[in-house]
Amino acid sequence: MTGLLRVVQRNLIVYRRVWRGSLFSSFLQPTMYLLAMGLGIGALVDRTAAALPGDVAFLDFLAPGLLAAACMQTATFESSWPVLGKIRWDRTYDAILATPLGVGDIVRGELAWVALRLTTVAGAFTIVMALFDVPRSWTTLLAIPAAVLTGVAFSAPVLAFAARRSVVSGSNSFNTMFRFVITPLFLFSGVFFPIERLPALLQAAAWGTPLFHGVALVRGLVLGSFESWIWLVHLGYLLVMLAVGYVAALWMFRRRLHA
Amino acid sequence: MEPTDGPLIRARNLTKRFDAVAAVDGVDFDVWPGEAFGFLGPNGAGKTSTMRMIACASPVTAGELTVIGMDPRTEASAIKARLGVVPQQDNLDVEITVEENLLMYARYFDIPRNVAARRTKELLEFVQLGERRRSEVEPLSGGMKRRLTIARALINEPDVILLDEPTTGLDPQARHAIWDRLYRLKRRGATLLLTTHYMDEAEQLCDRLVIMDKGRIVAEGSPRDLIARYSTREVLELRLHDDVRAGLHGQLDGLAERVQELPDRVQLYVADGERTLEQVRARGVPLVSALVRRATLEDVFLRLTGHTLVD
Amino acid sequence: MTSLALMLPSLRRSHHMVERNLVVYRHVWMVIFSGFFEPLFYLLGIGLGLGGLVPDVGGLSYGAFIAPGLLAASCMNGAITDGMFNIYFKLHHQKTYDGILATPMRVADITFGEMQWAVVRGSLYAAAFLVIVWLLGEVVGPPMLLSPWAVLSFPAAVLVAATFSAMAVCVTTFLRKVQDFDIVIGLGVMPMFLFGGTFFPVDQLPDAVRWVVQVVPMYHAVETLRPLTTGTVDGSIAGHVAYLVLTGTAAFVVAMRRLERTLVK
Repeated sequence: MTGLLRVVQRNLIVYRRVWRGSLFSSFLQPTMYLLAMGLGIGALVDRTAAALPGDVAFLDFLAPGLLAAACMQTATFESSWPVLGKIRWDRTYDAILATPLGVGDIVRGELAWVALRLTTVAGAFTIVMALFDVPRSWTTLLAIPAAVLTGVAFSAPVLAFAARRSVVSGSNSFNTMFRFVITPLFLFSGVFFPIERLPALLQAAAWGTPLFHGVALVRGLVLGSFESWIWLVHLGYLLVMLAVGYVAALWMFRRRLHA
Repeated sequence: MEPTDGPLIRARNLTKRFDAVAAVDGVDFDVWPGEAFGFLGPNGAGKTSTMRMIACASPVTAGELTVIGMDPRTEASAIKARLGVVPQQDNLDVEITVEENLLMYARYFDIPRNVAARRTKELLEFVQLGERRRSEVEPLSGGMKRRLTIARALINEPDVILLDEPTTGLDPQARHAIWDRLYRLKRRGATLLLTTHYMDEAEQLCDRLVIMDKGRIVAEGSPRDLIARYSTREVLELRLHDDVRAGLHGQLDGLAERVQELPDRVQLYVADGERTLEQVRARGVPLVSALVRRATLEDVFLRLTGHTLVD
Repeated sequence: MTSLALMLPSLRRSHHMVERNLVVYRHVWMVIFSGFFEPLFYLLGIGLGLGGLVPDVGGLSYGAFIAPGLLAASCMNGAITDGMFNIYFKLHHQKTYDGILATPMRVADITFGEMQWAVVRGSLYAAAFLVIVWLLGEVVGPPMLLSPWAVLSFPAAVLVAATFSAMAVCVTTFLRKVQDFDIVIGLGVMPMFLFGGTFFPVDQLPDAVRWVVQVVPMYHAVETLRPLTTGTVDGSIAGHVAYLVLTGTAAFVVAMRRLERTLVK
């Protein structure tokens, strides 16, 4: 546990130099997205009275989805280029491993660090949502850990992936990953429109993807719309993904750093 | 424009200022075809700034500079076409492979593809990187990257090769590998221009050198000349306990042409070190250790500037 | 030789820079290839998926409304990835340009070459996107290219790509550390992407905001492309084109001069 804290502490020291800009963007991004997409596109949508589940306004439908997606994007980014840089460029982990800390401490420390970052992102997002009068239930407070879990569940497998790449090829792989995995998930996981609008086959595929479960969980909590135990399925999916990703990251980090 | 005789590089009162600071403060030198010419001096002496002006990478502030008969101010591209540059920090293109680094560099010189392909193959053999030609640049060792940079500098068959600190930061084995390649170039009649703060490198590679300190040239000549002119043949290095040293009170007087006090030792400049050592012992000075060695450029530098090359 | 002649790029030498980028992208063709999909995914997800909830925008289907906007956005994003990030790292971290400048290549040749490469790449994306938009409109419907004027949207997209690339290179010369990217993205690129007229008409915006939006290049890019694909061309398009040409040229000249100052000192 203390090993984990040391790794978090190290990232925190680095982060202290840049936190102002980052906190600023934590509030700015959701505000801009909710204004442009929620209100801008929302004005085009609402006139039609097209049925969104629970007959909510488009802004209310969109906001929780964006919260989950923002956590996915931040977590994926934090676990890709910066981690690769620490492995290959700065050799930070080699230096850490020369101390009593082990590979497990590094992996758990990086995950805990991402969780901490996401808590600030999700917290800021939730405040912005409240300013737009989106939340419908006290369970909105539970949406913050749910969104953090969504992000961390993405972080673990990305860490595993980052451990195996060189700087140049890794950077290119990350570009490809963002374009072919993260962007499609962002667009087709029910953030912008209910997946019921997708063709049946893609609907089934969406059920298999992690962001869908994160979005469904967060949206249900923010809008207070869970009527059944379905949330357990969403939660379970994310926990399993985190566990599998963690084991993979541990394995890959061992192979890389003990090579 | 083509010089039939005369120096390849000619500098008169050459000056480089960054804001108010004069990095190079009015230096004169000539580099002749076929020689290995060195700039020896500590970090910050102005060697790199001089090198960068010659390479047309940095505008001349004042004074005169002619490179291969041309003026860097107006004919930079034409000059660069005939130079090979090995900068202090490798700036290889890390997004392409070892082999492509040479092929692509050849293209910047407008060298036809078939010629570029032939030279690339030869040069990779020359710097012993033939096996690694399809490798990315990043996984290469420091010494390999340096050798690749040297190969790259040779792709246009340059008239002059500029090497800025060619072996700084390399381990001894990698340094010797580089020196070996540079000897071969010298034997083929290449003109080499190099900066270094290692006196062994300067002694081994340079036919002629200038010693620079604080932007100025303080001496010029061949390594042997400089040693003969500014030092004795041998140096006796004495290590003493601090209290012994404090109580010497002129006990070493008259034994040497010159005595140099350094933080960790006392150096006696003499013709015959062993004899002087006997005399020191005869005077009853208690020694921790003593060493007799031949004088080097380090001693020349110390004599001229009062400080050491590497501190 | 006059100093003007020294400032002007050489076409032949600048082509070496294009060639260098081609060599790089032979190894990482996936990066180029994947770039095609970004606007396509947005078109499918927002244009058709979310668009199903939108009846029409001023008489246009949402797909037809958003397609030219996404084309402009993809030109901007392409310029940022390739222009800003890539050039920043070559300039400050990998020192690639220092190596190239030891050859007869000059700063003007490098800048011009990087620009040409960005335009080639942007043109490929634009062409592919327009073909896909046309096919989707014909096969899945509703149609998104509504007029023969749409043919001109290709050269217009090339102009948009060139303008954004010049601006991206220019902005890059002002960046001093990696964190500066956050400012450019957060206060420049993202607001332009979200409010520049891609996703909803700018006349929905409050007056004060709309005036600001009408100054930024994204707005003019969208206003150049949308009339062409939807067949609503009038005289105002000349003003938007002129804006793009002028700001692009100015950005290019500033970029070249600043790179000269950064690289040759």
